Amino acid sequence: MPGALGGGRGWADRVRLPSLVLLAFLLVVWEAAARRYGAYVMPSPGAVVAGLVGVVRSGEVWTHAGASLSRIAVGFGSAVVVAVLMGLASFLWRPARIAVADTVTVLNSTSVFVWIVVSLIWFGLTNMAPIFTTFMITLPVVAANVVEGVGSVDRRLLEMGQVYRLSGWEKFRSIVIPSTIPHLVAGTKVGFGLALKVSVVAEIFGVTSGIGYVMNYSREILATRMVFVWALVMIAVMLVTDKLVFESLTRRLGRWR
Amino acid sequence: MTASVRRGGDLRPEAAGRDRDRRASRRLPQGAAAPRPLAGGGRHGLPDGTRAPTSRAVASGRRRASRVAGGPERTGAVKLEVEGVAKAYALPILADVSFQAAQGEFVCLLGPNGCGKTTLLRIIGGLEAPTAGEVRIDGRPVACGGTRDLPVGVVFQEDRLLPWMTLADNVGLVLKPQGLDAPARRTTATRYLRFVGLQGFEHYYPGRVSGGMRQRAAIARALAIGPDLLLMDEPFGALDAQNRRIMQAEVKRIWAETGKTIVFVTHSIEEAVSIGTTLIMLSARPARVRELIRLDGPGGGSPDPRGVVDHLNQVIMEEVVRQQGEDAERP
Repeated sequence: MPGALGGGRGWADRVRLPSLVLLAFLLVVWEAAARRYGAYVMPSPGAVVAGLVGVVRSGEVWTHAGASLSRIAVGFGSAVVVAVLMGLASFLWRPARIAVADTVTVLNSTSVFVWIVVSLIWFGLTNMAPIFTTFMITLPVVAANVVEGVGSVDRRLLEMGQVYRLSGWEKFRSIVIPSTIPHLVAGTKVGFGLALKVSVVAEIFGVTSGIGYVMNYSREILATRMVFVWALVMIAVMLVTDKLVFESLTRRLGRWR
Repeated sequence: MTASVRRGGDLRPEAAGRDRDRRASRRLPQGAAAPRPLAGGGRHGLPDGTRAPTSRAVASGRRRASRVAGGPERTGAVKLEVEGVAKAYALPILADVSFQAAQGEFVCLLGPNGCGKTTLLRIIGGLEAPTAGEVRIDGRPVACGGTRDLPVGVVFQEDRLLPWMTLADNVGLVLKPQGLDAPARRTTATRYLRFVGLQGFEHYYPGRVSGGMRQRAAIARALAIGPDLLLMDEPFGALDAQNRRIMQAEVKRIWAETGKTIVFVTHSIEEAVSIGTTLIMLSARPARVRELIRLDGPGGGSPDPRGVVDHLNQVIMEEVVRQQGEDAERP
């Protein structure tokens, strides 16, 4: 009996049957709501899918998703670099560890809106506004992970390095970096999700491309259907990146586990 | 496996040379080696002085014993000197520990729990500085944290292998400070892994092999740097009884084939008696050398290992009781 049951469950888990059932149920509710409230409040699922096919065909999806992703690449990419440097400083120098930890705490408590407003004042209606906002919001998330990773390096392994007279660089390369990388990857993964969410919000103000811009524009021209379409695009970008980049990265790094 | 292991051992010219030495000394009548005085031994009354009042020397006349008794006397060189070593943290841990070990001796450090065996080993290895006293290896003082030109191999309680490196890379890593290039490191690593019986496992990650095999790899790493002294800190504490016995036999074999001077910390009297040539029992905190016993052969060489075990069990119980008494008096 457990065999038969287990086999059935394995198959159902593989196609994620419970989620598919839930999705079907939600589609039915969605369709009902669309009929009840009309296309302005709630466009029907069919119309949204048709819209999605439209933006993919016209290539608009690449323009806006590309614009958002390039801003993320700059803002989030610099955040990762700075976070690694902060981790390095806190590993090498004790006062830096305290300063970095407190900076991370303060930045983590700062609202997205603070950075959006400040960057609009500083950079005006330019590309720099969403880039800077993304940078400031993702920096503490990645840095917190890197600092934690650097702090969790096994002192006993470093002592082993000392016993065998490994050079400082060799200890760093063979012990510190490999211990920190899983934390860095975890931080980057969380940070990237956050970057996508934050940069889209920042794009509402001042720029003329990107998923955030086009969603807000669709709202202004009363094209609710397109708001839903771009929301789906955003989710798809997130899922694909997670699957393609982070899953393979985690698998590669975890070979020895 | 044993066959390949032997071959591994014989690849090493020094081991082969020592085997010749041993065969030669074995042919000697026992009396021939014994009267030769130990260099530097007289100053602290070791080993003869300590034999008389406080400790029991177990004499032996077996075949195997003559080789081991010939070990220290053969070269006559004092490898390790521990002189008046004291260490205090919040409490005094080591009061005044002194002993010497000759080249090729297998010293087991025993003592009640928490008496400072590991601390003493760490001081010998230069991982901690003593509060007082000095440790010398080949007459040269060990500086804590300093770069030593005398390599000391350490096997810790845990294997301390890097989990993200294969066993061969783990061993190869410690050869980098010697300036060997990658192929040379690989060759040496493979040779020592083979020597400890890990042939075929060179490319396994530590997480994929058993605890005993990880400890074997850690021993291979310690041997690979060609140490003058091998320090082992309860290396088999985490192993099950069966693996423990196997590894004890392995260490005995490695010691016999390489002729290294070994200092081995253990809390098991049976283990110490079965593998050591010299047993040092530390007293309760703050520790001194309570007893120093020279066995004439590892395990089988002694006429009455049971007697030594019983005696040491009695001593350790006295020390544990004393420790508890002192701890109770402390507020």
